[in-house]
Amino acid sequence: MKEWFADLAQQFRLNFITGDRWTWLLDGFKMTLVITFFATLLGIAIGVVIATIRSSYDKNKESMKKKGGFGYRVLSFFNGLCGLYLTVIRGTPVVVQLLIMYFIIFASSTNSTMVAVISFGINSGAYVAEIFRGGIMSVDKGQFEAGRSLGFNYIQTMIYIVIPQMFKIVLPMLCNEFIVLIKETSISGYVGIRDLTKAGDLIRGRTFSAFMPLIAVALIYLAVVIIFTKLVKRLERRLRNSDH
Amino acid sequence: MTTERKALIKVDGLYKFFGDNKVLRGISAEIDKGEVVVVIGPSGSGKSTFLRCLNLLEEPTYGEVWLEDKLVTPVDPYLHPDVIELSKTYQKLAAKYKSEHPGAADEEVKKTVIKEIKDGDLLNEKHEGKAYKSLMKKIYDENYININLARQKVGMVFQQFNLFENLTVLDNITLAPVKLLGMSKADAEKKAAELLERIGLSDKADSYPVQLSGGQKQRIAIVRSLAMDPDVILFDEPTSALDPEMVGEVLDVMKELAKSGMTMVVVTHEMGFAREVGSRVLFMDEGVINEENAPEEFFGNPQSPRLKDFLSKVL
Ligand SMILES: Nc1ncnc2c1ncn2[C@@H]1O[C@H](COP(=O)(O)OP(=O)(O)O)[C@@H](O)[C@H]1O
Ligand SMILES: [Mg+2]
Repeated sequence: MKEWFADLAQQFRLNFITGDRWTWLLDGFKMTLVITFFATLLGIAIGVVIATIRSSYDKNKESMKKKGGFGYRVLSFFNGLCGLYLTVIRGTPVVVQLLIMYFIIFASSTNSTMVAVISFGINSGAYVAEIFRGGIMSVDKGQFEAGRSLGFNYIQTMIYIVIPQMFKIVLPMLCNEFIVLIKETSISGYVGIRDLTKAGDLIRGRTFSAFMPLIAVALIYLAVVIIFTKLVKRLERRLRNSDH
Repeated sequence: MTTERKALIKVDGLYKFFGDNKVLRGISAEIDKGEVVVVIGPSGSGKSTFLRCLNLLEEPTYGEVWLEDKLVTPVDPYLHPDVIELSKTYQKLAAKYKSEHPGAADEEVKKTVIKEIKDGDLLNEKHEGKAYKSLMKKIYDENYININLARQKVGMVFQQFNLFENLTVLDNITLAPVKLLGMSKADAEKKAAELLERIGLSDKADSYPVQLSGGQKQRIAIVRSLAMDPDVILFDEPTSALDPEMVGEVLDVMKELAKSGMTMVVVTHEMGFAREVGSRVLFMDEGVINEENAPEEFFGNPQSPRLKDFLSKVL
C-alpha cells in the first residue's frame, strides 16, 4: 500500500511537476476556453441570422408568393441557402469539417486558433439556429399580432417584442450549447492546436505514462461541465420564477 | 377612381378562404365616423376573420378594404368593370358572344360577359395584357397606403389581451407612440399616466402583465391602443376570456369610450352592450351579413329566421 502511494506520488511529480508540465495543462485549458467562448459567440450570431431568415420565410411566404416580385425571390434564395447549410453541417462529422476548414478552405492561414473558432462556430450555428427557431415559435402568436396591429412592421415586432421574449426561453439552451462545445473542441489537436486534450496527450508522449495526464484531463472537463451545468440549472430556476 | 368615399372603413366584396373552408362569402359594409358597430353571430360564423381582415391581420382572398379613402388591400379587378373590360379574357369572350349573338346591344354584351368572368373567376393576372395591367397599377398607385401606416390609425383589442409580456404596463403603452410616432419618452409617459388615471390603474404603471388580473389587462390593452390616437378601434370579444366579475369594468371603459365619440367595431356576445351603446348591429351567419339594423329594430323586430333563432337562444 505504501509502495503504491509512493509510486503514485512519483508518477504525479513526473507528469505534472517536472519541467512545470502542469502549465501545459493550464495553457491547454485556457486555449479550450478561448476557442469555446468565441465559437459560441460566432454560433449565436450565425444562429440569429439563420433563424430570422427561416422564420420570416415561413411566416411571410404565403403573402409574398402571391405578390411575387424580387423580395420573394431573394428571401427564398437565402432560405434555400440556410437549408443547405443546416443539412451539410448536421450531416457531416465535426472532425471532418475542422479538417476541411484547416487543410482546404483556410490552407494558407497560419492562425489555427482562428480556423478552429470559425469551424466550431459555423458548426454550432446550425444547432443554435434551430434553438432560436424553436424559441421564436414558442412565443405566443398573439404577441406578434398585437405588435403588428399597432403599426410595427415585421422586423420591429421581432426586435421589440418577439426576440426579447425568445431570449428568455432559449438562454438556458444556449448555455447548454456552450457546455457541449467545451467537450467538442477536444478534437482541436487534429489541426495542431494545443488545447486541454492535446496538452494531456503531449505529456503522455513525453513521460510514457498515460494514466495520470489523461485522467487529469478528464477530471478537468468533468469539473467544468458539472459547474456550468449547475449554473445553468440555477439560471433556469431564476428565469422560471421571475415575473417577467 | 374618383368615386366619393366618405366612410371611415369601407369593405367591398370581401371573401376569405382558408383552403377549402370558405369563411367569408361576400361582405360589403361601411362604417362611418363615430359609429359603434356591434357584430354578433354564432361561433365559427367568421366574425373574428371579418374583423381581422379590416386591419389585414388576415389577407382577404377577394375584395377590397378601404381605410379613410385609402386602399389597404391589393386592387380587386372584379370590383372594377373598367378594368375587366380591358382584359384579354373580356375581349375574347365579348367577341365570342357577339359572334354567337349577332346584333346584341353593347350594354347587353358587357353585362353578360362581365358577369360570366366574375362568376367563373376567369381573370388571370399574368395574361390580361398591358392596358389591363397599367389601369390596375394606376388605381393602386393613386389609392394605396402602406399597411403599417394604416394600422397606426386602427387600434385592436384582442380576446386574450396580448399585452407585451416582456414590458411593464407603462412601456406597453408608450412603446408604439415613441417608436412609431416619434413622440418623446416624457410626452408619451405623461399621456400614458393620464390614460391610466382615466381607468383608475395609475398604481400599475410599473407592474408587468403577469401581475395583473384579466380585467386589468384588458383595460390596459384598450389604453395601449388609445395611446396611438386611433380613428377606430376593433374589439374581438374583449370580455369573453374574463371571469364574470370582471366583465363589467371592461364594458364600462368601452361605454365611456363610445360616449366620447370613438368609432368602434365590436364583436361580442354582450347583448346588453349592443343595445345600450350600439349605433348599429350586424348579424353574421355563415360568412355573410345576414341582417343589420339599429339596435331597437334589430332586437325588437328581427326579420330573418336565422336571426330569430339565434336571438331566442342567447336572450
Ligand atoms: N388562421 C386560420 N386558418 C384556418 N382556418 C381558420 C383560421 N382562422 C379561422 N379559421 C376558420 O374560420 C372559421 C371562422 O372562424 P372565426 O372567424 O374565428 O369565427 P368566429 O369569430 O365567428 O367564431 C372557423 O371555421 C375557423 O376554423
Ligand atoms: Mg371569434
